[in-house]
Amino acid sequence: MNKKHHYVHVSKVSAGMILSENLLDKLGHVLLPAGTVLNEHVIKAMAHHDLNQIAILDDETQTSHEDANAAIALQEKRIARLSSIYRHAPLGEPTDTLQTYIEKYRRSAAS
Amino acid sequence: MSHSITDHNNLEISLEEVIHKINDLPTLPQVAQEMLNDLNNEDITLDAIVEKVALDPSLAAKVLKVANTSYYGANSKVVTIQQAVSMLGTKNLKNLIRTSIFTRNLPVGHCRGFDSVGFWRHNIATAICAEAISRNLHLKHDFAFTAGLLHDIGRLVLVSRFPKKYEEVLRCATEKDCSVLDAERSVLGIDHVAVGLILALQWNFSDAIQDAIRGHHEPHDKSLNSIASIVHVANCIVHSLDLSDNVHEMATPVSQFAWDNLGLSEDAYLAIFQETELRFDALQQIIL
Repeated sequence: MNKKHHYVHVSKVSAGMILSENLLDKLGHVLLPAGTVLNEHVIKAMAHHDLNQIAILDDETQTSHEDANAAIALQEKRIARLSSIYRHAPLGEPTDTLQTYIEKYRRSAAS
Repeated sequence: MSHSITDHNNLEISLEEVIHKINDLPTLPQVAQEMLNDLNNEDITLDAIVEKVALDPSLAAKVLKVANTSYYGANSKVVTIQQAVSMLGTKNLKNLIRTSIFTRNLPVGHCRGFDSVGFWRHNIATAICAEAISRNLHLKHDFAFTAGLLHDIGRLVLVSRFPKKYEEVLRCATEKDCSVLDAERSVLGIDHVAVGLILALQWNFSDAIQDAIRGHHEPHDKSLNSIASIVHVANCIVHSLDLSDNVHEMATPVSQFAWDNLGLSEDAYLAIFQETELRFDALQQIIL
């Protein structure tokens, strides 16, 4: 699997985590396929096998949501900053044209 | 000493003083100078650059870090200098080395109110933007990056050689909410353009770099290399993009001559803004 993952020790796994790779036993048999959502039952069963580190999928929905919010906040801050940077405007041409381009650029990145 | 630094009525600096003070500025270390000369040599092989980078641990670390930033889109970790160099390409590698050399070797001194990180942020961003403009114009300006990087070098001379007087300049600019250039002229009777030019002559910078320093505020002189117009517009863009992280950041007027000289479309400008921001993000975290 190509998605981002991290390793968690078998004693630290919790319900709701998703396997990013097939979970194999010592002989290479698949115990659980990639994509399995762990639950209490499965976690208990894992204890019977000699397992160590488990590859767990990163919680992308959560991080991407946070990233998106941070990006919007940053963009809004940047748009607000323009009025301070151009506090002496209008500065005449072609400075004013550059100002419109910069404003357009900031707003297009926000949408 | 002819001028007392506590005498607020006489903070003017004469050209002779500047020349005298520049003489005791440390010259670039031999290794750095050699490296810069090698970089200007078009025939130098990538292997030769790799060899030199490998000799300098801090530079090698920076090269690896840059190659591992998301801007260069590596999926797996870049481990060796060779890998990093092939990812970055000769041009980016040369620019990275130039930036490291200048940020590392030029003294800043103790001048209250002077933000040295902001200074380098502005200059690195201007270098990146000047190169983006130059590429957009299909000019083979290998020196666009260096010109952008060094355009304000005179400011560094003033800050490091006349720190107390420069504190007054910065205070004046904040108080009057005017450009630092105007504050320099009114307080010191000299500006960073003239001082930068003296340094450029003293350190044997190329004619193109000299023109960029001379013309970055007033590019309307037909005898100047077109790099002056490029660095002028790049400087204006970078101020407007707010990349130096300075609360007093202020847009600077764009010269009609330079604007017409470049003749870029709106789309070209928008692309240049984006490229500048993306590449700046990738570089500034490593250098500063």
